[in-house]
This record gives sequence, C-alpha cells and structure tokens, in this order.
Amino acid sequence: MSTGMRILDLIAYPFVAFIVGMLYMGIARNIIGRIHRRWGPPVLQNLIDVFKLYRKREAGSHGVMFHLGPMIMVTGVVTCLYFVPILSGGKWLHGFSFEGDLILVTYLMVLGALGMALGVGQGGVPFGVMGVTRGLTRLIGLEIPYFIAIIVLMAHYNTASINKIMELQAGGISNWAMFKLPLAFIASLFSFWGMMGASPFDIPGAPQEVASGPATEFGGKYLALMMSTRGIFGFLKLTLWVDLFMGGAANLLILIAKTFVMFISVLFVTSVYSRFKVEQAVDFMWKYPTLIGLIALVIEMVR
Amino acid sequence: MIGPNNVILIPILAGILAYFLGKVVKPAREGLTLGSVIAVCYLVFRMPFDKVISYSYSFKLPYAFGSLSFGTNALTSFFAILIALSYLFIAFTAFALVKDKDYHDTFYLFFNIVAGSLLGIVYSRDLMSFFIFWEMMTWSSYFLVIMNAKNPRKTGLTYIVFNVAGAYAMLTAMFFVYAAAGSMQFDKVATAIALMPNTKVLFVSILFAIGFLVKMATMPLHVWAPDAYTESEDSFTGFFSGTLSKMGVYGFLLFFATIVGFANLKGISSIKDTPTVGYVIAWLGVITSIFATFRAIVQDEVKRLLAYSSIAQVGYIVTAMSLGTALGIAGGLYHAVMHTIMKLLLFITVAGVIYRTGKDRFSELGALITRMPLSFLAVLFGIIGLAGMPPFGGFASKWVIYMSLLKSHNYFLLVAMIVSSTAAFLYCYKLIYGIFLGHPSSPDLMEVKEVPAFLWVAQVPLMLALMVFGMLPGLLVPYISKAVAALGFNAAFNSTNMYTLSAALGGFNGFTVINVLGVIFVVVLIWYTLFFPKSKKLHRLDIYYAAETPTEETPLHYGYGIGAELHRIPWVGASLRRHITTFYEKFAEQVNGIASVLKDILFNGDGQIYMLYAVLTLVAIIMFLGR
Repeated sequence: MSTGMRILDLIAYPFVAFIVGMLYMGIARNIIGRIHRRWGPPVLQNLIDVFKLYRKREAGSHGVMFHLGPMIMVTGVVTCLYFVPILSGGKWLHGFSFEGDLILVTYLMVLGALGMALGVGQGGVPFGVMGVTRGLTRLIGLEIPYFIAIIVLMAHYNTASINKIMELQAGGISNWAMFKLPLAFIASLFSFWGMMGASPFDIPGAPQEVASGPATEFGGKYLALMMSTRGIFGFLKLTLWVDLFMGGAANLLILIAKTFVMFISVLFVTSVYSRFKVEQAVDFMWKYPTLIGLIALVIEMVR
Repeated sequence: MIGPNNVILIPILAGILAYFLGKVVKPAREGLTLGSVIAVCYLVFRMPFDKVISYSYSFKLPYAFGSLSFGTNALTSFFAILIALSYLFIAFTAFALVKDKDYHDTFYLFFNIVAGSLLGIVYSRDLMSFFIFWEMMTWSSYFLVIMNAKNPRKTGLTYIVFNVAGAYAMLTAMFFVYAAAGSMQFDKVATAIALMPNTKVLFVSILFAIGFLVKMATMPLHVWAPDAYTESEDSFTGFFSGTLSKMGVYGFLLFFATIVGFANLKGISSIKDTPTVGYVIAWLGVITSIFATFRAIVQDEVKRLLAYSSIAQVGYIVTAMSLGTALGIAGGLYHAVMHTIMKLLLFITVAGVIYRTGKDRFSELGALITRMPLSFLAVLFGIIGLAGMPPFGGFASKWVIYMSLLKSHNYFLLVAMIVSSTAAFLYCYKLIYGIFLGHPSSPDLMEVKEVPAFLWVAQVPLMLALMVFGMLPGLLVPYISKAVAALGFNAAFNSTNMYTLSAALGGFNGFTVINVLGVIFVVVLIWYTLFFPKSKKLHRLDIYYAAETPTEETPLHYGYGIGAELHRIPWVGASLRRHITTFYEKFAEQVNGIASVLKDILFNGDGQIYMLYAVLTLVAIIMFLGR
C-alpha cells in the first residue's frame, strides 16, 4: 500500500466509525420505538441532531478544563479506536492495531471517560459529578467479567494481540471464540451491555435522578462533540467484541452484519429491563457474570 | 575513587553537622543538605551501573562478626539511583516548606540520616550492616513521623511497634543464619542456607518476610502505615511512601532471590510452579491492594487517601515479585520506579497545597485549578500514572505486571488485581476533583497562590519523567534487565528498542500511542479554536441546579461525597465496616489481661515470694554450674 493510501485509510478510520455509530443510534431509536408501538424518529435523526449542534453559535464554558474535557474525551476514544482493527486481514482499516495489544485497548477505553470527568468536574454541577462517580463505581462491576473474559481469551490463544486472536478464529463459524469459549462470551456479554449503556446498567446518565448525569452542563459544540464521541465509542465496542468473539470481519458489509447482531442484543436488553441502582449493578456483576466467567477460567486452566 | 561506603557517610555527616552548625548559622542546614544531595547524586550516578564492586571496612567488630562490607551491583545501583533522586526532590520540597517550622533543626538532622541509611541498606553486603542501617532508617524516620503529628503518641507507637517487631523478626532469623554460616556475608550466608534443613529455611524465610512485609505495609502488617503516612511531616511523606517502602522491595528481592533463592524455596514446597511462601505472599499482596483501594476511596483526608493508595500500589509490587519469575520481578522493579515517581509527585504537590491553604481535607478544598494550574497538571499526571492509564509510565509498569501474571498462569491473582486496579479510578478522580475542580468550599481558597517555586524543581522533572517513560517504555528495559540479571534470572523482555515494550504474550508501542493521542488532540483543538465562535464565559453559579438558583452559600462541592456509594455495595460495605485494628486491639486487651493475671500471681508484693524466686534462681545457677 502506498503512503498516500495509508494516510487516506487512517483518515477514513474515525469517519467510518462515526457514520456507522450514529446510524446505529438512529436505528436503535427506531427499533425501541417499534417495541413501544410508536413509529420512532427517522434513522438519520441522530446525525441530523449532531450536525445541528455543530452549527450552534453559542456555548457556555466554565473554564479551561471544561473546554478541554470533551476534546480529551474524543481524543481518547479515537486513539483507542485506532488500536482496534476494524477489518481483519491487516490490509485495510487496521489502524495502528499492530502496535498495541488488548490490555492497551482496555485501558485506552477509560482515557476518554477521564477527559469527560475532568470537564464535568470543572462544570461544577453536583449532578454531573454524581453521574461520573456512579459511572466509575459501575465500572468496578463491569470490568471484572470483561477482564475475566479477555484473560480466558488471551490464555486460550496465548497472545494478547487482537489481530492474532482474530487470525486464530479464521475458518468458519465453529472457530469463533463465542462458540469455542461460550462461557467467557456470556460473561463478557453482560459487561458489553453495561458498557453500551443498556438499561439495567445505565445509572450514570439517569435523566430522572441526576438530570442527565455527566452531560448536564454541556451544550452546543461541546454536546455535539460528546454525541459524536458516543457514536464512535459505540462502534468501537461493537467492533472490539466482533474482533474478539466473532472472528472479525474481512469487509465492511460483514462487519455491519456481525455488529448489527451484537447491537440488536443490546436493544433487546435495554428495552426490557428497568434500571439498577449503582450498588445493585455492581453486586449483580460480581455475582452471576463473574461466576460464569470464573467457571470459564477454571475450564481454561484445566484444559 | 570514592566507594559506596563513603557515599553513605556523606548525608549522615551532613545531617549531624547541619544540626550543630545550624545552631549558629541557620541557612547552614539547607546549604549542607544541598551539598550532600549534590554529592550523593554525583557519586551515585558516576558509579558504574552493573559492575560488581565490593569494599569492606577493615576494623573488626566484637564477637567476630567480621568486617562491615559494602558493595554495588546492578540491583543496588538501581535502587541507589532511585534514592538519590528522591533525596534531591524531597530536599527541594523541604527547603520551601520546612523553613518556618519550629522543628527546622531536627528535620534536617533526621532527614539526612534517613537518606544515608537508605543508601546504607542498598550498599551493604552483609546482614550486620544491613540490619544496622535498617534500624537507623526506622528510628530516624520515627522522629520525622511524630515531629508534626496530630496524635504523636498513637501514631508513633504503632509505627515503632510494628517496625521494631519486623526488625526483631529479622534479627532472630539473622542469628539462626549466623549460627549455621558462621558469617554475616551475603554469599557465605547463601551457601549456608542452601545446606540448611527445609523447615529451618522456611522458618528463616518467613521471619525475614515479616520484616520486609512490614516495611511494604502488606496486610495484616499495614496498620502503622495510614497514620504514619498521613501525620508525618508533609514534605517528608513523599520520601516515606515513595522510597522508604521500596526498601522492603529491595530487601525482599535481595533475600528471596539472591540469598535463599526462589529455586531453593520451590524445591521445599510449591503451588503451581511457584514457591508456596511466595504464592501466599502474592495473595497477601493482592488482598492488600483490594482492601486498601476501597478504603482509599472513602477517605476525606487527602494524605490518608494517598497513604492507602500507596499501600495498594506496593501491594501490586509484592504480588508481582513474590512469584519469583523473571518477568514478575522485572514488573515489580518497573512499578517500583513508577510508584516512586508518582508518589513523590503527588505527595510533594499535596504538601504544597496544604502549605498554601492550611487545609488537608477534600471537604475543605476545591476549585483550586484556577489558582494553582501547575499543581493541577502535576496531580493530573500523577493520577493518570496511578490509574495505570496510557500514555504515561504507570501503564507500562502495570502492563508488565499483568503480563507476568498471564505468563505464569496466575489468572486468579490477575482477576483480583483488576478489582483493585479498576476501583483505583475512583480515588484518582476524587483526588483531582476534590482539590482542584468543583466549587471552593470556602471563599479564602480563591486567594491562594501557586505552590512555592522550590517545589517546581521537583514537580516538573517528575512530570516529565512520567511522560518520557510512557512515551519510551523501553527506556528502562536495559537497566531492569541488568538488575534482574544480578538476581540470577534470564532476560524477561523481548523488546529491543526504546519505543516498544514487549514481553510474553504481547507488546505495545508507547511512542505510537502518545503520538496518535497528540496528533488527534491538536487536530481537534485547532478545529475548535479556528472554526467555532468563542465560548461564553459563565460564572461558577450559572449552572443547572434542578430549577433552583444556587447562591454563594449553597454547598456545591461534591468533594467527599465521592465513594459514598461504596458503602452500599454489600461486600465492599461489609469490608469497610471492619478494621484490622479491632483485632489488634482485642489482642492487646487479651495480652494485657493475661499479663495482669500473671502479675497478680508472680509479683503480688509478698516479700516471701520474692525471696523464693531468689533462692530458686540461686539453686538453678548452682545446678547449672555444677554440671
């Protein structure tokens, strides 16, 4: 590949994630609407909202960190995205995924949240900080099954490289990790739903109790950036799970098909369950998903 | 050439001289400390890193303990550099913060002696001098703990009781070893231990381990640490938590890797290809980090939060190195360096904040970002390191520890470590939010100045170091490899250049990470600066507040509220309600009870009984002599 193409490829990287992610969010509103027996908004509604916000002339700022917070957030998320290969095969859309491994990606995923948390902190709304605190507390729950699942994966394939894990799952559906390591996949699925903000685990942004949680004080260009980041981040997590458990995708169509299946699972969960309190969420995560994960780990150690 | 033995003497003499000369000319204290710092740094850096050199004092000690001998190898140099640099940074902090205190004279005396004794510990080549300097460290730091303490009696007593108990456990073990080896020299002791029966080796190892685990504040021997770290003189705490705790790490490695040898212990009994003793200690380490992390989150005192965080972080080091694999020890050493940097940075900054504001609780601070931008940045760098997030050095060291646990198939240890590692985000956020963000808890906070300029001398290099080690994670690899080799292990890392770190199952390129981050951030920043109209500046009270209008009096700072949820999580809440101190207090009560009963029987004030003791003793002596 020529240098020009490589640069183009890298520039396209976040935009693919942005467009697909925003479309998914639109589709989500549509499907949830149908479940509620409404029509729901058009599929493009979220994209329209974001573009509208980008064109807003005014936005209030509470200080330097408030201004930089959303920017650090998008920086963290996009950087993390570059280390998750969108397509397998290592030719197109693999970003910098050969330069980092699964643990790096896992930690980079939190960097965006840190940026936002700093912004929220200077924003000065107690509700926002409450949301951040709840988010971080929830994270203690979410990360455990997720980490157990990736430890099982890394132990099973004896590598921490996402590309290698994808490669080793090549050659048919029966090789996918979700079928080879079903318990680990199930454990990780709970974390996945939580990380996607699906309903039993959506306490940080709970609109009824804490205004809108972390996003409370942000408006205009800041909210636009945060919404775009949310789209990109959603796509990132979907892609990561497809890479890790469904053998990755050779082209964008396959990727969309696979991520869509994962995404539908999130929607079904979110529209059925009501919200956990943060301590209930952590407690739940430490019980059933962790137990399932630990069984998977024991099976992996015995093998 | 000036050998390591003389390097030790420089700070000790400087301290004593500073005390007496300072009585006449006050600035002599700072001057002598500065001189000693510069001399120590120069000599330590000039010493060849991985050359094995040994020196010994020719005079003979009584009872034929042999001469006191000193020397250097890669491991020693590794820790000596750590000590020398922390000595430098803490000295500058002290110059600014201690100058008006009434313990100005004793501070420099004991601070310099502590620095000298730390160097003594790492440079000593026999158990005798090791122990002498170990005790010197404990006693001189004791005075620095009680110097400014709010509750000196309790804090000081707990500190000294635990540390002296640890030291005497070590001393007992030393006599066992001496009886077998007939010498205190490390190499002779090692040969003797190799020939010892298994039970004795285990006994000696456990006694030594107790001594080192006390210093590293591993549960259940950590009771002294939160109070001592919190109440010790502010400018010294960084040295205390950052560097003194690393002496436990050094002693542990020295004893378990070179003197006893992990292979020897493995031969006695092993679990999953790890020596049983090491395995148990590894679990102790990880349990320490979990409970200490949860406890850190719910603290209101800034320094106590950092103290618990320090206990937790050293817990990772304990876990990594007690497994006795090359990569584990490398991870422990890496994290030791990073933790020293982070804790120096955080404690120095916090000391500055306390100095400027006079407040040491989250519920009293807040919104200092506009007043202290540099300190904000310092704490930001520190917490990114503590949380183990890329792109800073903290991630690299944590990554190595994770890899070592993955490689040695200790998955359950790794899962337990993750619990503590993710919970750490909470206290990291509390630290930065509680001090610098949110709203000021009192109006006078809006008039404070940035921390004294002397502190910048410490803050800026430490921040740069965190960044550089994150950007070039391979930079430390050759040094760690040499130190690990000095302990008799083979290469742990696969990486060959300074941009990447790779070992066991994977690897990452820190240089790429930081560059990608930088480029994206700059692009977004330019986009937002050039293509959007300037934001409207809002007053801090112009916020959404559930349809109410907050006033200046409304308590809007959420400071110590962070972590309140934790009490409601069933298991965590239960653990937070229980204190190990209750156990120790019960134990002390029991001992007191038994002792008073014994006293009533044996020393009841009846003269005839005492006469009987005298007669019985005499009889015993005569019988013993008559044989």
